[in-house]
Parts: sequence; C-alpha cells; structure tokens
Amino acid sequence: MKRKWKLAVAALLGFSTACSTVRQAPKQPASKDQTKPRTADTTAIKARPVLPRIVLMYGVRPPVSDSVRIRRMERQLPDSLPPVAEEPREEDPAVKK
Amino acid sequence: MNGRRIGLRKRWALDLFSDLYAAKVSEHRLDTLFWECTLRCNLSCRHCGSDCRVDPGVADMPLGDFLRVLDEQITPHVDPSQVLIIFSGGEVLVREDLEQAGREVTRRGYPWGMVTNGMALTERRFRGLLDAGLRTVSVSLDGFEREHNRMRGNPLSYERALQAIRMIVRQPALASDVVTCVTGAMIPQLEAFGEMLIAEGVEHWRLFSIFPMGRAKEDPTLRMTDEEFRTLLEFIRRTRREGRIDASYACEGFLGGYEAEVRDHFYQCAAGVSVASIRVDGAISGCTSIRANFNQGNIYRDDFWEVWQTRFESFRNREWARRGECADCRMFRYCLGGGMHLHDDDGSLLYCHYKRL
Repeated sequence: MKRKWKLAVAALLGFSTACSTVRQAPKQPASKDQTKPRTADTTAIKARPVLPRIVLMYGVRPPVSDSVRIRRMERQLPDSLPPVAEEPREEDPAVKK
Repeated sequence: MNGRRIGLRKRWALDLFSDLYAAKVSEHRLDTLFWECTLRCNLSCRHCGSDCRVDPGVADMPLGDFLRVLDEQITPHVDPSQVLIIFSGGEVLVREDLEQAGREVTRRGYPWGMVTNGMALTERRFRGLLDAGLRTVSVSLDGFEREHNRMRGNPLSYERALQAIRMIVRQPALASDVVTCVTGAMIPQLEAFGEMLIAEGVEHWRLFSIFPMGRAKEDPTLRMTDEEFRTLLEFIRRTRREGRIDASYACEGFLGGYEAEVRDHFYQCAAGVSVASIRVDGAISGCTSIRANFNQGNIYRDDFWEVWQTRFESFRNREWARRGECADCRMFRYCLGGGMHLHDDDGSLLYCHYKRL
C-alpha cells in the first residue's frame, strides 16, 4: 500500500498523528523569503508526506512556523514585540545628521 | 483501564504506523542535530542522566570545530531550514559564546533551540539569545519549590526557573515547553502543579519518568512504582482531553493502550533515524542520552555525513534487541526494544514501559 494511502487510512481510523502528518506534508516549494541552503545538493529533497518531527527526550518543540509567528506577534501588544522592532539602530546616525 | 490492552482500531493504526516508520528508517533523513556543547553545569541534579558537574573534567567543544563539520560535512547535503539544531549540555548557558554560536547557525539558515534549567537566564541574556535567532526553548521544572529545589540541589533553582518561564511565555515567536521529571513524590501534586503552569501561561508541558542512568541510577527513590506510573499516564490522558494545557509524555517507551493518547504520535525511537548528535568529545551518535558504546564515529577522525549514511546499523535495524525479556514479547514489532537510551552497555534493556502498565 502506498504511503499516502496508509496515512489516509490511519487518519480515517481517527488518529491525529496521521492527520497531522498529512497536514504537515510539504505541498509547495519553500517561500522566497526563507533562507536558501548554501549549497546545491538539495535536489533529492522532494515534497512528500513525512512523519512529523517528534519532541525528543532532551529535545525541544519544533519551532513555530513563520506565518504563525507573525500572526502571534500581531496579536501581541507593541511592548512585547521582539527587540529588533523596538530598537531601529540603523536609523540613529541619520537622525544625528 | 488496562494499560496493556490495545483495541483493534489502534492495532490497525499501529500496524500502518510501523510500515511508515520502516520507510522513515530506510530514508533516514536528518531533521534534528544535537550539539552537546558542554558538560559543565551550574547545578548538580539528583536525577541527572549525564552525571554533569560544575567541572566535569571534559573541555567544551570549540565552536569552530562544530561549525567546520556543519559547513563541510552537513550543509552540503541538507536543506538547513529543515534541520533543527539543539544546543545541549550540561547547562548550555554556562557557555559564554552561546549567543555567537546561535548567530552562526542562524546565519547558515538553521533553526536552533536549547534546553535550560533557567538558572543563568537573565533578561539581558534572553534578549541576546533572541537576537541570535533562538527559535525554541525548553525549561526544566520538576515540581513546586520544595520538590524542585530538592531535586536540583539549589535553593534558588525554582525561583530562577520560574522567572525564565515567565520571560519565555511572553515571547509569541518562540516555541517553548516546560519539562518535568516526575518522581513518586510529585504524583499527588500533579493537578495543582498543572494549574500553576496554566496560570503562568504555559501552553505545552512534557512529563517524563526517570530512567536508571547517570546519578539517577544510584537513587531508586526517584523512580515511580508501577501504580504511580499508571497514575501519571492517566493524568496526562485526562489533561489532554481537557485541553487547557498540552500535556504529553516524553518520547521514550512503548505505552500499549496509552499509545496516541498521551503523546501526539505513536511511539518511535528517532535516534539514528532522523536524529544525530555530536557529543562534547566529538563522538557521533543518536540522541545525547545514549551510551558511549553506541557511538558511531568521531568528528575528529571521521566524515560526519559518511558516518550518517553508512553506519548507524544498530539504530536502524533493531533485531539485535530481540532478546532477554523482549525475545518473545508480542509487542516487539511496535516497540523494537524501546528507546536506544534504555539499553545498557551490553545492549540489555534497562527498563520496559509496557510491562509496567
């Protein structure tokens, strides 16, 4: 049985593992604003359903995706925005001039 | 509930998942890389699996050595945005160049995270780490003040960890969770402790039991009885259903009837399958908690990528684990002998989660 079918059957059985696996499967190439890999040997990386990264014993949770990060930051009050937004350092010299 | 009983629906799903896991093993795409950057620690916890010390007698790995491997042997073969780098210890914050390390891996396109006890996480340090691209962090908190400080051997450890959590949960862009090593003494307090975490704004809470390794091996009082262990799993299952906080059991151990009910996924050991580590002495392994005799190479003499592609046989084919109490266990096809870190120096299983249910 093909992998996609197995995932679909597992989803039908009601297991969120399978559902989240399908949801997290890459459907399109990475967006343009993502950092590109430094070298070219990534042609073998294909879009296909993958088992989600598990949280390991001494590990950490997977990072929040960019879209979710932006949404969450928009919801927050301005004083909780990250320091980059609070400190426009590059503008300082221009202000002095 | 009889924790060992697995219903038909779950058995079907487990069979399907086993096939998917076999495909994952065959593919062995690296998605997580631990860098054990130090074995130094600012605490001396009673349950430390690494037996870390203030001065462990092992020098930190120079950042340049790690970056060399990353640049020459890993980056050419992966999409950095898909590989999570986890700085691990010891206590990572004792490294003064941690921010620099974070900046360097961020510059290369890798997301990174760390696990900390929170002792040294000042507001200023936290800002520096965020600026360096910190994306995900876990803080260890083993219970209320008395229990946590007893486990950690430091009267300030609870307050510092709580301060760290308060800083972290205010950052919407940061993934985070609280990690709790549960002992028997903690079981009656789980409800109240969970309420406290919810009140503090914690969304994700990972609980695990202590396995007999490092200093934890010397203190049997840290371990739970079978009944306490079942109580813990029932608590996690109930808490997940309530949905007020995302509680989960750690990745280790096959849990029979509790599978997919106390974690987001079915049991799997990803060590050597999608997870690798570079230990403080340069050793290449799966997770950092696995014994040294499972090391697969060393960055100071081997090419990391060649090791990843051509070795790790004992991680990817677990037939060797079908012995002792696992030899005739009908669950072996699902658990494959349990987590790699649960095997002792000669490969014998130290601890079977399923048989405790």
